[in-house]
Amino acid sequence: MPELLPPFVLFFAGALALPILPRALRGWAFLLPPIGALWLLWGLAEGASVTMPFLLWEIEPLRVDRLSLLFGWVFSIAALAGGVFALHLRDTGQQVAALLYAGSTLGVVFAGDLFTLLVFWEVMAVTSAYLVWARRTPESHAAGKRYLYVHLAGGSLLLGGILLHLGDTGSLAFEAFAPGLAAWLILGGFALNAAAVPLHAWIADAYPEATLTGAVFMTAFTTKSAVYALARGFPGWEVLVVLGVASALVAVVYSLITNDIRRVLAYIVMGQVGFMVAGVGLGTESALNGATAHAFAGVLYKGLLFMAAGALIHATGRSKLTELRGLRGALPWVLGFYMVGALGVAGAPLFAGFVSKSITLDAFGYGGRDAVYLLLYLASIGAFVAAGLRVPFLVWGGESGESKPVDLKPIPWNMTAGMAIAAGITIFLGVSPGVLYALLPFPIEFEPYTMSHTVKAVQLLGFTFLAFWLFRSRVGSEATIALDADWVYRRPAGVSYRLGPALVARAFGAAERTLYRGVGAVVSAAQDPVGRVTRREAPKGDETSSTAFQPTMTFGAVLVLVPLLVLFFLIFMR
Amino acid sequence: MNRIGMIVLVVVLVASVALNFTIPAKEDPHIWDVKAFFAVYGFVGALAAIFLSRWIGQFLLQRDEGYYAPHGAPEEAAEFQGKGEEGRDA
Repeated sequence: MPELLPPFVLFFAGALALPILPRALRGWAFLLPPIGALWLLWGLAEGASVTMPFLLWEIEPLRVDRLSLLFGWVFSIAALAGGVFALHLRDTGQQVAALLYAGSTLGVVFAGDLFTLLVFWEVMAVTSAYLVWARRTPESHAAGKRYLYVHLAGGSLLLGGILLHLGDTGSLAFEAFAPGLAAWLILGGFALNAAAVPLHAWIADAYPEATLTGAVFMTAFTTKSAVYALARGFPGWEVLVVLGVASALVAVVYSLITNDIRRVLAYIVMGQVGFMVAGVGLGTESALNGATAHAFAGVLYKGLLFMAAGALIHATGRSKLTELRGLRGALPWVLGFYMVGALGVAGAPLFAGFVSKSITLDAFGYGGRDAVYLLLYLASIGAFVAAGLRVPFLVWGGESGESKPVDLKPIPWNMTAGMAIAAGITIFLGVSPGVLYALLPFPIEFEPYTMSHTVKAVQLLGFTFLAFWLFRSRVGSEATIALDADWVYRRPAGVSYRLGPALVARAFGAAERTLYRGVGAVVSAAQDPVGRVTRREAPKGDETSSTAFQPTMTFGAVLVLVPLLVLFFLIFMR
Repeated sequence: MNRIGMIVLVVVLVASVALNFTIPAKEDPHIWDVKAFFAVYGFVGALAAIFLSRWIGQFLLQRDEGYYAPHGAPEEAAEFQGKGEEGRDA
């Protein structure tokens, strides 16, 4: 039954076939699995399921319902758009890793049991780590290792939780969890991938170091598949509201002081995922609709932001805002696509973020959670300032300052095409939200383009812009890094270096110097015992003066005469 | 920002506040149903975001770019590496 083929199979088969194809065809062949997956999803009906026996249990590699279908659609679209963006790539390792990564993400989404989920979860971690390493710089090597360790730790939480859950309930089915130690461990694993405070630092550590195309895939898959898993397993868990709001607000602070453009965007992703996590935490039908709609829209406009940043870095060879300054009229298309993504983040009317974010926010505001509603709007304002105003103002609007003029490399046509696809869908969903609303897990009656919503959004964005414009001289960027929670596991490296090798090296150095000094003293004493003793009597730095010469001669004479006298005495007194 | 941009901005801002007064009052109003609430909130929120993050960054979070350099201070690492090579040759 080909219509009941789990979509991941296409991607894994593609990853196997890719290396044996001619190099020039590999970029194009990359597009076939996503297209095939879209075709499969078209034919998948709700309620479809594939089960098979595995050891003592029954596993379910395909479970189709409205929630999994929605994420299946958007991940397939993201893989396709990302594949177009990466069409120029001639790096088979990266292409294979990206296919396995996309496939395992779809595997997570359609997994009906926890065992299948865990396996795909781990494959995601390893393949995405490769996309960081593939940049082949010392920084990406180190960041990729940290990324992998953090995600394997998250996977261990998940494994521990799943085993406990299996022991408690005897069931591997992936459904909403009841509170307990097992559920908390699993929640920890999911929250880590959702970059929820305080398990978020990996996102800003790894994304800026990944390859330009790799980061596009990473921003689409890891955090949003975690939102899916949270929506499936933990709807209505109040702790997620707290974590989500905290993530959204913390992310604003970092995105406004960070200097690397993709690090800014990584924090923007973290903040946007915070909205989704909070929506899942509220757990009402409209909040879950909002969270999933926001995930769908977010995959596209945040992927678009990373594509635009990738194109910018490709053209200029620079990624720090302090070095990118003053592009002025250069790369207008990149600026245009970037702004579509940024207005998506900001929730501007006519863009996808507006029709998705309003659902979540209204679910809080009209569900008796006034404080959460206002805090999330504050985070929304901050995200607009960071992504929509600060970055474009510094890169395109500001004075070039001290940075040297940039030699621009041409941007491959396919990068532009990838951005155009993502931008087109971002605007399409913003203009005709009904298409998105038809996919949501619960029936929805929501009209985003009411006078009230539109006026609210225009006032918010307009006056945010006014405040930014009046105080734009206070919004800069400095060549610094901002400490984050990864300090806990990164700082000990320096400290332990100082306490370990540096301390030992210093001790050996001191011992070596002492030894050399001692041996040197003995050697010089053996070579010139007289000089050694008498030199002390000489004034410093003036050893040939007569005052030094005199006692030396006296002492030498004594040294010769005394044995002679002894000798004579022995010979003649016998 | 040029003249036209200025005019567009002022028109948009004034219109968004003016249109707010056409929305009928609700039976159970929240604080954000006050007219022009989001204009004030956007303005104040943006200032709060800009200045708070700046201060938090300056006083707490921002460090030199070499802060996480692999072996403490770079010159110290070079020194250590130099000594290591020498030791191995001997």
